[in-house]
Amino acid sequence: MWLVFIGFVVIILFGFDLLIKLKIHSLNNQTKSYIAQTKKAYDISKRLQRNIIFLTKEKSVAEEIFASNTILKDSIKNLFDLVPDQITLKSVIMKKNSLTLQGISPSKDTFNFLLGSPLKSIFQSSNTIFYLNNDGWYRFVSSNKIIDEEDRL
Amino acid sequence: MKNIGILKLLIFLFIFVFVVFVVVFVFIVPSIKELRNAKINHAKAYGRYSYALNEQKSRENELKKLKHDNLKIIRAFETNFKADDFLKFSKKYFKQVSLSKEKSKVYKKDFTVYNFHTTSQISEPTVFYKFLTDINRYDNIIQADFPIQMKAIKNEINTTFKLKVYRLKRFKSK
Repeated sequence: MWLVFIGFVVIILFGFDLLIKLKIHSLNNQTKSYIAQTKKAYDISKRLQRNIIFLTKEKSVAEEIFASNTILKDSIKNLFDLVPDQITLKSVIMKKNSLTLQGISPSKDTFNFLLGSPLKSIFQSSNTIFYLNNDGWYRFVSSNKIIDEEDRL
Repeated sequence: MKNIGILKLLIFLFIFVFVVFVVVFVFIVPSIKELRNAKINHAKAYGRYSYALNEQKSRENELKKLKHDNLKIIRAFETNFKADDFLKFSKKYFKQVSLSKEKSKVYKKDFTVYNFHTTSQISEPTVFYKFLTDINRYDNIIQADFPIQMKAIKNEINTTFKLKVYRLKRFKSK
């Protein structure tokens, strides 16, 4: 009778131990699964981060180009706003660091006061050559340059 | 007889206690310790997983928002530049317009810049301002660039300028 009782208790205790072992096994399996999923999530995050960096680059390049177009438009607009009614432009050549204007002016002074002075305040180097026309007006060629700091050194 | 019965009972009781003691301390206690460690590891792994999942979700949302906000730019960088379509668009501003292709270049590693020399005729400078405003809304990413030359011929202004079309390098131009 006692031996049966002891045997029964031992079986119950081993059963309890088995349940614990099963629980441990299940927890370890879940832990492994979480570790694998964590690695996967980090890999996905890295890929997404690379995409974010690339899209940000695309955005900044596009914004740079849009800004450049707007600045170009404003520069041309400012130039034409600068030209007074008395002076007629015949040709404009705009480069990155230079501006060459050709046109006609009623007099040298009209050009120098109304267009030459503002150009001198914008460009570091500004030279104008005048040619007298038969009608008494002056043809002018104005060459203006911005000197890069790098070029100066 | 009674003494023998009590002795027998004590012996069985002793055996019972001993067996239970052995089973508990040899098998169950180490298993419980193992279970506790497994629970700690599980909780740590779950914590790391939750953090990684949150990171992933946050990146997904960030990317989704970035894509949504810049859909036009993204498409524009992927769209093939069709000269005929551009000429059609340009004719809204210029009386005559022609494009001549120049050498393309790589820009900031990921972009190809297709250069064009553009010759056009406009009636007045304001048309050119409008063109420069509207190319920012065109289907491709286009930059008008120096050198720009404007020459008055009768009532028209002959305009030449450089046009740069930007496209993602991985999309080859057709």
